[in-house]
Amino acid sequence: MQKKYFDDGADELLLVDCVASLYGRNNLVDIIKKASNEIFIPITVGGGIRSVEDAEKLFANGADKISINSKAIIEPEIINQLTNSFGSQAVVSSIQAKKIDENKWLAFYDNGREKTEKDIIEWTKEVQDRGAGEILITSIDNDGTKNGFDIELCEKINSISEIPIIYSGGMKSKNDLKNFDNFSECDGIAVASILHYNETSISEIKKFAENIKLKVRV
Amino acid sequence: MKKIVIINCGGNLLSLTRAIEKFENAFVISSDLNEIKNATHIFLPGVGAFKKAMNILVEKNLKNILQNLNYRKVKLMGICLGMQLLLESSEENGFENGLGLIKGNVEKIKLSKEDKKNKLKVPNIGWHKIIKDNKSKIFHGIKEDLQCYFVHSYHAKLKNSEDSLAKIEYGSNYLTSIVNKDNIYGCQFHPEKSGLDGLKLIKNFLEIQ
Repeated sequence: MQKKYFDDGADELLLVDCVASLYGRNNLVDIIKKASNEIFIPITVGGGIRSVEDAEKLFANGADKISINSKAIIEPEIINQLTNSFGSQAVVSSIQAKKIDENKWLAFYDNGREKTEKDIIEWTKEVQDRGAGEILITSIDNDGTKNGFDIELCEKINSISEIPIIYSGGMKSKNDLKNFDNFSECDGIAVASILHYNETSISEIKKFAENIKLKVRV
Repeated sequence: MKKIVIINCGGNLLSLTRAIEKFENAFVISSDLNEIKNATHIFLPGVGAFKKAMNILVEKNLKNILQNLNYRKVKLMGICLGMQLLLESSEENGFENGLGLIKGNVEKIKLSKEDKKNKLKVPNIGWHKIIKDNKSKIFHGIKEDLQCYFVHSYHAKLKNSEDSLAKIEYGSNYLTSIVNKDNIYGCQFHPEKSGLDGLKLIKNFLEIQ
């Protein structure tokens, strides 16, 4: 599957074990190894990373970046430890946001199952100050629903962030891209379901984006 | 007979190894002086900080070797920090001498007020369109609209513009992207992470006679 996405023009590959923290596992190593044999774009790996040693193992097997959420919520200091060990460019802070009120989102963890009291604005500032190099923001409300993007959330995060933001969650079809104003709301999007179920392809999405004058690599 | 060496100064060499494996069966990953002296094609990757990387080259006695190879015959490719090491010096964490194979210095990327307003960031992470400065066989068979993957906070300021094969536009700055002198090449981006076109650059380098 990952080879197919590389051949089709993906800019990056994101490999996430969504339920790793729940089951207390981290076993993506074999998948990354295989990926780095056949795909030549940046690979970000996430899910179940609880220590610098966990991350080390992923980097040694071909990850270019790691993404972290659950452990960082419980122990934010791990972001500093990771960036000190591997550099900011290698650490992606994954933020799972759920809208609870007009203009207010809270950060969740364990793949959206566990709630925190952290306001995502404060949390975004904190992960940035702790050295994270990128933010992967997921709208829990939209993720898996194919209801389209939460553009408001994108804009909100982007307005305070000084590091690149990748938005994920809810893409239904390439037409959703029309909601972006030349990606001024974020630096990139992560797409999963509609690709996995062959509802569209990366090349099709990119071609569409190019046609509506969005800045993309084709 | 080709003899390819990836200089091993630590760091993750997996992607570069896999990329070269696409085209060549026989190559070594080594910091052994004799391997490097006898190589036809040398890759100098590099991750981390300039000073630390130079210290490793000095400790392993490689600085001297790399400075004195005959680059009309031997082919050298520096990647990312490996490209920056080819220059005379860097201001990263103070001042440090480089290999001096390419004239110029490495400086921090400076953003203008306008750049900041436009949300440009340092480090520069992402894909950029390559603007060619000069023709080269390294571009052979690669489409005009070439985009490559960058991760860097520092960039090379060259003294001689003819040493630049390509640059990118980053807000108010042009950033050096490929340097070349004799058979010495350097890419600021990661060709091993730049998709099929990046692989082709590696292939073209390996095919230089």
